[in-house]
Amino acid sequence: MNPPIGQVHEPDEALHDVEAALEDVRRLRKVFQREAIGRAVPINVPLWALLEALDYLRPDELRQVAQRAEARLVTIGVS
Amino acid sequence: MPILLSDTGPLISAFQSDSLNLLVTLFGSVHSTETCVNELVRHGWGEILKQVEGLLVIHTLTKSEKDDALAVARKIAAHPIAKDHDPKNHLGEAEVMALARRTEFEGAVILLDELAARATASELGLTISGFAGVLLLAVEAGLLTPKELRERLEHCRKLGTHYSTSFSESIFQLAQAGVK
Repeated sequence: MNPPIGQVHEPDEALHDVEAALEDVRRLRKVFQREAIGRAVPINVPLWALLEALDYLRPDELRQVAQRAEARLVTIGVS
Repeated sequence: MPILLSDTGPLISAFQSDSLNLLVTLFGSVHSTETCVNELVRHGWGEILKQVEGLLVIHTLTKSEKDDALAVARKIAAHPIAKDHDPKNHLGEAEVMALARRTEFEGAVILLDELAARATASELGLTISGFAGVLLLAVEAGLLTPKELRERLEHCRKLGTHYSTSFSESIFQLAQAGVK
């Protein structure tokens, strides 16, 4: 059977760009790495514990946290 | 092995480029919903769907999951980067996001190519990838050559998917450069 030609799903919607594809593959790598280490289960951590843990981070680790927080704020539309 | 849930658009790309087996090799199984299947049939992929029975697992949503999906579809339609503001045209991707909330799919990757749906999924804390990202991963895993990746994206483009030539070329160059 020949595939349908020219059938576009939601033709008006924009697709992601190359930069996003690169982010995707980086994200996928992390997912597969986590899977390789072992199955993870979610746990609830009180916010105070998370904030207190910051006091024990090295400068490079704190920078990573700051960058992650900035990226998350952009994602959820808060700048 | 993480589970893969897919929206209609990337499934069409997988069918166009004969890549469903590749997705199954990488992820073990590919899951979607009845609405996505109905959209695939509407786009003329009914016969192919019969041929891939067993590779693609189709799920029926419960009433509360459907309500959840409708709320997500409204969110996508109202997103500033959405071009189509009719929620019913976003039900496919919304249903896949609702499906991802099942305990059995915790940590699953959702295959989404459209910007507004991707933005909404990220806001919901879901793990997403586009079809091209999975092909790049397949190159890294040694399952595809960079040239085969470009051929697959070009094949999709020739059959109607809105990947531009420059998009295929840039993804090919990333693959050739070892992705990074």
